[in-house]
Amino acid sequence: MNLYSLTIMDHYHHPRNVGKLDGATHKADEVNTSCGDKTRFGLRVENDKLKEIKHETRGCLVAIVSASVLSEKIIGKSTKEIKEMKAEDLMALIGMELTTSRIRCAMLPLLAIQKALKGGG
Amino acid sequence: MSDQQKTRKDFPLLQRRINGKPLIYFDNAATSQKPQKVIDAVSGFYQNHNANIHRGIHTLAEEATDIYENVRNQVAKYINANSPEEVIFVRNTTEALNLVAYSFGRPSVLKKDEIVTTIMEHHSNFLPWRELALENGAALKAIDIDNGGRLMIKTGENKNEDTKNKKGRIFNHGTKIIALTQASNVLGTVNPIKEILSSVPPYTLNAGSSPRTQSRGYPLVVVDGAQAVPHLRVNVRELGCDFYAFSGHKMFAPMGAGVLWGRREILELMPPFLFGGGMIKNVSLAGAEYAEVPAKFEAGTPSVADVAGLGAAIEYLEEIGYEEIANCELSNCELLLGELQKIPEVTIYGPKTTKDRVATISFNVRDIHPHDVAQFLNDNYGIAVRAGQHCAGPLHERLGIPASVRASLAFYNTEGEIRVFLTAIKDLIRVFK
Ligand SMILES: Cc1ncc(COP(=O)(O)O)c(C=O)c1O
Repeated sequence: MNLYSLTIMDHYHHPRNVGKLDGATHKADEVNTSCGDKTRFGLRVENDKLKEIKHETRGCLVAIVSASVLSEKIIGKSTKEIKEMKAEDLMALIGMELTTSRIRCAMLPLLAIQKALKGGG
Repeated sequence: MSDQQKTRKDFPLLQRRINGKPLIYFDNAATSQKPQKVIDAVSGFYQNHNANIHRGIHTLAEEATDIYENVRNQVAKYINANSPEEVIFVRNTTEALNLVAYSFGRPSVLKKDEIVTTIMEHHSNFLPWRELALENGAALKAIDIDNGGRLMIKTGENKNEDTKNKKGRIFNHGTKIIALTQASNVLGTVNPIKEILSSVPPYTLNAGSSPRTQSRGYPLVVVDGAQAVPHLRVNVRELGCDFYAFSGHKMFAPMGAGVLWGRREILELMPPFLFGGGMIKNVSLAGAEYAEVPAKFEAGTPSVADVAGLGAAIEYLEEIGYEEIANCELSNCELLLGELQKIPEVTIYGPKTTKDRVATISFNVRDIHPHDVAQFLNDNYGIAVRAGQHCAGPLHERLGIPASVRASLAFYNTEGEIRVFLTAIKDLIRVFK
């Protein structure tokens, strides 16, 4: 998908599931040290399935869109499935064609989510 | 064909297309493109003369040595050094500055001494001094900038009490080293080195001693010339510094060859930085005697082909001439500065006029992330700019911004390219609205 398509720009201007999650069972922060982008995720997991997700992301278009799209598309998945997601899976999910340095931007939210799931509450 | 169109033909890479668009290369401060003449000098060395230098008497070894030493002479003339022995070949500016910090700094900077630098330094003229200060218990102070992006160096102007004393000088009794850049790689500011240094008496030496015994005296001055040499005629003796460092790759030469110029008397009393082949007089189990300058500082096999390329780049620069370079760059810089200032969404950091400036312009567009700006310009217009902190963390912190976008021009950039760039910025603002 074109980086500046309407869908993508819509996620950029109106990212979904933004905010703090009350009653989160898992939380984590992640920073991209190469550009200083930051994200914070709160997740609510029940019976090993992701029920609710919220994030606060400060970063570039790729990081914001990735966080927004992820927050919609991984609801209902099992924690095992999410923990095993790789860069390729993320790319397929967000439908962006990215070069090496931008893949790092896209990975930021996924890394935060996986960190939260691995680290527990 | 205009002169500029002719010079553009000298650079094969400028013919490339990026995403179907002609490349617009505005990342010259990171590294410049190379003219065919330089590329030929490098491949010519490997095709016809390749041999190790200073260690053979066969024809090829002699040729390679001559090529290498001739470029040393050429560099010495080019920067107006006293002699070729004052020119030390290194890989780049970073290595040159580390050499001074290790070899001169480690033994001479003592507890409670101070090192003065500026807030606009590249990390390579900041971190070596920071580490040195930490290790030796010295203080590190940074001269601040005003809102126009210029160093605050005049008496009474420098509000930062740290870096001025009662006489309004930028150094104190205990200042051992002043390290500053001639041109900022972010702001484009050209610092008035001669004027700044006019208040610093020449570094004096106690003859026959080592840096360790050079205790109280006037500070040693190290100038980072990485962003100046590609744009200005540099005369190291006139500047009034003790060391001057630059990288070949930013001045149309290959990556891998850089220069440290130093005053010979000082180089002579400094210990070697790296030890190994090529820097000794004789070695036995019992002891070693080191070579004279410059060999003392050139341990190991140097990048001879890249040095050959540096020679070709200097020739090329001399053919074009610095006057022509400044004309091209500054008229485009003026256009770019003027037009960018008309766009309300754009904030420029650094001087807004071309006075005492190189054509390096850093800016932000509203709150659009610099990475997004750079990506958009690349994907849709084939424009190469840099996004991030440009290895100037302290400066970005001082400016209160996480990062910026940087467009840096060379003499081969055209007015047409500036117009495309301006259109691209307006398009970006529309798309990200
Ligand atoms: C002002 C300044 N100093 C030092 C450097 C370091 O140059 P190099 O990476 O060639 O060592 C650069 C280039 O990035 C620079 O712009």
